[in-house]
Amino acid sequence: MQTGQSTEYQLEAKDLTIGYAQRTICGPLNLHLSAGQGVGIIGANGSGKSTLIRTILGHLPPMHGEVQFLGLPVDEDSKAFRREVAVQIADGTFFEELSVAEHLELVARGHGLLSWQQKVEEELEFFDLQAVAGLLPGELSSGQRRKVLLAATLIRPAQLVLLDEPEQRLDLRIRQKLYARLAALRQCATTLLVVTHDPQLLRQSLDHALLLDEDQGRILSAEAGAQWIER
Amino acid sequence: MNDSEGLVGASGFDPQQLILRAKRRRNFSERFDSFSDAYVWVLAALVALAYLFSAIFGLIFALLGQGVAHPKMPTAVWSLQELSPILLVLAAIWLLRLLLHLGPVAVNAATADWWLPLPLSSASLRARALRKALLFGMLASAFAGVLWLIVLYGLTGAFDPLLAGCALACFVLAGLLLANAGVIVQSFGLQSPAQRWLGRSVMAIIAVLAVSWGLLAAENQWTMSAVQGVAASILQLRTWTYASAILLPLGIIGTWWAMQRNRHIGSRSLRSSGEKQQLVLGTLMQADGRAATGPSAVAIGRRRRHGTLIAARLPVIWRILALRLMRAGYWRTTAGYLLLVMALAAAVDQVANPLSAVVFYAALGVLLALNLSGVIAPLLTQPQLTQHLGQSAARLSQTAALFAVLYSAVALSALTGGLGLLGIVDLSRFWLWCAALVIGALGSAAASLGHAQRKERDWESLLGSATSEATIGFVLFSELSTLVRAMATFAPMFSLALSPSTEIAWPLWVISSLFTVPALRLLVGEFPRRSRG
Repeated sequence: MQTGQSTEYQLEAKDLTIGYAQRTICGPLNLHLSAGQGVGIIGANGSGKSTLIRTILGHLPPMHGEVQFLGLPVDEDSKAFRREVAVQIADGTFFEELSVAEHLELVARGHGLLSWQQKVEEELEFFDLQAVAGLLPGELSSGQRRKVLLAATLIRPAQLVLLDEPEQRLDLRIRQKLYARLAALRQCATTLLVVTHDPQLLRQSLDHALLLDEDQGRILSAEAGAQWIER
Repeated sequence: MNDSEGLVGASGFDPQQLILRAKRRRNFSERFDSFSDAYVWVLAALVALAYLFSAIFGLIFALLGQGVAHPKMPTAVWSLQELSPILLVLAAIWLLRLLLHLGPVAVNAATADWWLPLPLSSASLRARALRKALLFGMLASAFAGVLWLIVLYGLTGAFDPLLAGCALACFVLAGLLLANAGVIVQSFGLQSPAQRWLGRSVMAIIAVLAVSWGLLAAENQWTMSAVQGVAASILQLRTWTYASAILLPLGIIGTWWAMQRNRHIGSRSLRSSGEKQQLVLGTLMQADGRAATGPSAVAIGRRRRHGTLIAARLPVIWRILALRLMRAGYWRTTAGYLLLVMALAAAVDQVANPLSAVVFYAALGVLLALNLSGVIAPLLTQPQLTQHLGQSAARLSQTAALFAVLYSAVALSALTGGLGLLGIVDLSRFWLWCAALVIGALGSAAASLGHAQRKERDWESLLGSATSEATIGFVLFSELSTLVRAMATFAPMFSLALSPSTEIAWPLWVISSLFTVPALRLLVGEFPRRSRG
């Protein structure tokens, strides 16, 4: 991927203020993520966690400041950005007429994976979705829909993975598998930015926490972040 | 699993093919059903158009007060035909505002979540979205044009198929041009300034009308001949031929430019426009057109401060109702309607007649039923409010009913007072008018209560799996019967407006009073299990 000026950080947010229209939610924030780092975004409801993810993705314009990915301003319209950044937003929608397997096929082939059939099979197996692979989204439970969204996020290669409360509606076994997989991804130099309310996710898969509190952001260790959630 | 191995250029993959293949596979057995569905919908559209045709003719008949004696207003300087070209300009502005509000180029939520983030060329995605936007512009403009042609036919009584065909072609081309303009504005991200300018242009048109009204009232010859010339020109084939000759090349150039600019529309704009379109569709399905064009965040903030000051001293349930009325701008619809009616009656020849008054009352009844229901709906349909507010469901319903009655009474009284001032209705039998207004307000409130409950319940089932022709028919029939019952409570007002000196037969009072029972039951605190209004 073409990068801008040489930078040691993969993702940088400088003096970033986030919000909607004229309502500031949080900021200014500064965030510097190197390849392979994992940061959990924590905070109370309404503190701006999901808004931060949406701003980093370019879905929302920053109210102030800038977000850079690989030294270039975030540009959702850039193919390179879309190729390297994978995202799972809280409650995605689905194509009514595509089955679970076809949704995964869409993402895998859209990202140019040669062995997409094999990848789809692997993800279906990982998330225990084989039995519902041929079903339409309307026939799935909310937990199964969440698994499909996660599978679609992880089926494709990416340098940066953004997840919004991935633990929601997952059973304990899948959660444990997912946390181990996220930790393994970091070993492969994939950077993680994860909104979470689960201290276990912080402890097992991430190394830092960004606490959004009182309109400010503070970087804590993963353990300190986990303890903040438990309090 | 998340590696970079096994990647290949994805240029050969088109998500549309995958989606179409899946669609075809799953819908194959339903093709014949789809055909019969299409047949039913085309038939329904034709029947609806026929009804619309009759309704517009009836409206024009009433507005012109044919066969009814009416006062000659010195302020009435226009004829309806002279005003009809203004309708065209306003329709064009409204359509462009709608197009800008909707995007017009947009992708739906699933496409935004699954297709848009793929590292593929979005050319085919954008081309489809552009085609939809242009088609919508042309269809909407053609529909508005057909309505306008019906109005024109009703006013002149003469129908020239060649002229109508040529005019319709103009409307289609104008729709194409407006959609192109919308796409170009969207590509530059200038929707907000454009909306502001369009809002100002409406004000400018009103100002021009006011000035020309003054000049016509002063019998300025140049203005009179200009107005008559414009009114006459719309009935000439030459006018529409020239218009087509101008619109066609403009449409072609506009389409070419829109296609060029389409690739500059950002993913964020495509996504947010899709969200707006979904919102509009949802609110329209709930028969609540107001929410489709919600006010800006700045306007909400301004009203929030304003509303809080006014409502601060009210009891909590009344505060909810007052804040909903003010912040969401529900009052504007009623106020705007009353102003329009007064302006029409005062400034347009022949409109100041008793038949028009009946139409104005009937339209206000429908408007109140739809509009008020939006204000009171939460009190009737959200059981959790009883816990949050510590009030019984009966108390909430009682307050909602009282609010609806008071609001309806104020609106109906304002209309009656205005029509009385203009001399269209005779208010000499003051106490009879008071009784008629009370019954009308109760009936109007009953209709709004019924619609509020249906909005959450029946209309929502239309959006869900229960949708069928029978369900749609049942809901529409329920809505219609509610409005008919509300109109029945307006009968004494109609009678007083049409025949001020005639005694109203007592059965009419009794029958109209009977239809106020649903509202009265709520007012006395009896909470119905399934009030239909």
